[in-house]
Amino acid sequence: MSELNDLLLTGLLNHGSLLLGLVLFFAALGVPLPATMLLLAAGAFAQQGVLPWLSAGLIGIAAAILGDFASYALGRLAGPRLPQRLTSTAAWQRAADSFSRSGFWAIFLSRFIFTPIAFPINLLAGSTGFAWIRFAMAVIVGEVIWVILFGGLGAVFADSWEFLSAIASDVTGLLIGFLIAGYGLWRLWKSHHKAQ
Amino acid sequence: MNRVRWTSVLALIAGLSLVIFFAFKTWHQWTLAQRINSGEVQVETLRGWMTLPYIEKTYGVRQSEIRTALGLPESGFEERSLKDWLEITNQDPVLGRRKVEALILQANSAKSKRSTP
Repeated sequence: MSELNDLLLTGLLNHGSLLLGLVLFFAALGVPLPATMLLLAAGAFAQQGVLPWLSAGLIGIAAAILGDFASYALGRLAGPRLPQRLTSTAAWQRAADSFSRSGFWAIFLSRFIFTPIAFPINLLAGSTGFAWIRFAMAVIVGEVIWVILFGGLGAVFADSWEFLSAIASDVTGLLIGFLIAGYGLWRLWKSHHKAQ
Repeated sequence: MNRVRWTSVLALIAGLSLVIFFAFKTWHQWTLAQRINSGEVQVETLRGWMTLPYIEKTYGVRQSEIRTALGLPESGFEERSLKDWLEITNQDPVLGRRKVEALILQANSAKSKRSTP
């Protein structure tokens, strides 16, 4: 386990929900912090009676949602500042249209399955002007699932949460790999069809 | 090959590389877990990030006993991790952990003796 992880785990024991909230907030803002690992640890600590589970869960959910809103706002602010030669292209318009159609699911699934792409998705949602109410709905439901799912797993498997954390990050990497490979394959298939 | 095909092939290769890398890591973690469960591999109970109050609560060893075994002050600095304590007091981390692990084993055997009629 890395130095940072050790530092955060000792911090979680000493400062409890406050540290959990801060990490989840900044992770949603794109800071590379091991949020899922800490959530699993928080679940295990709650099960061991070291951390109050209710306040940890509520603070965790609130912090993750606030971090998502903040990164969406960043995207909103940055959107108009993007060079017009980029935003006026047909490709950008197509991407924005496509995101406004299926963005809800991208936002929702990136909260608890494809977590490493959650921050870029938030920026994209903000900069393409994705409706904030739909963004809020996807984020709130997604973050509640994420905190309950991983916090709950940490509590149920309190004795082996470190193993679970390693497996969770590897499985996420595996899923992202499948997603990128699938996208490449789909584009190849589409361009092949077009050529025919 | 046009640009779209190039980027598609690139995405396919990058995605497959990630799949192979993480599949290998997942498999490695899984086999390690199997070996730990079968007792083939021993894993240390203690971690460097643990604090003395956490060890006391989780393993049932009194903080005062841990402090005595490691030659630490009687009280104070409860927020300090085991790793930091061993570093600050210039102790070998392996030996230091072994001392605390011995206390945990003692506490466990005392507990099991009490529970047997």
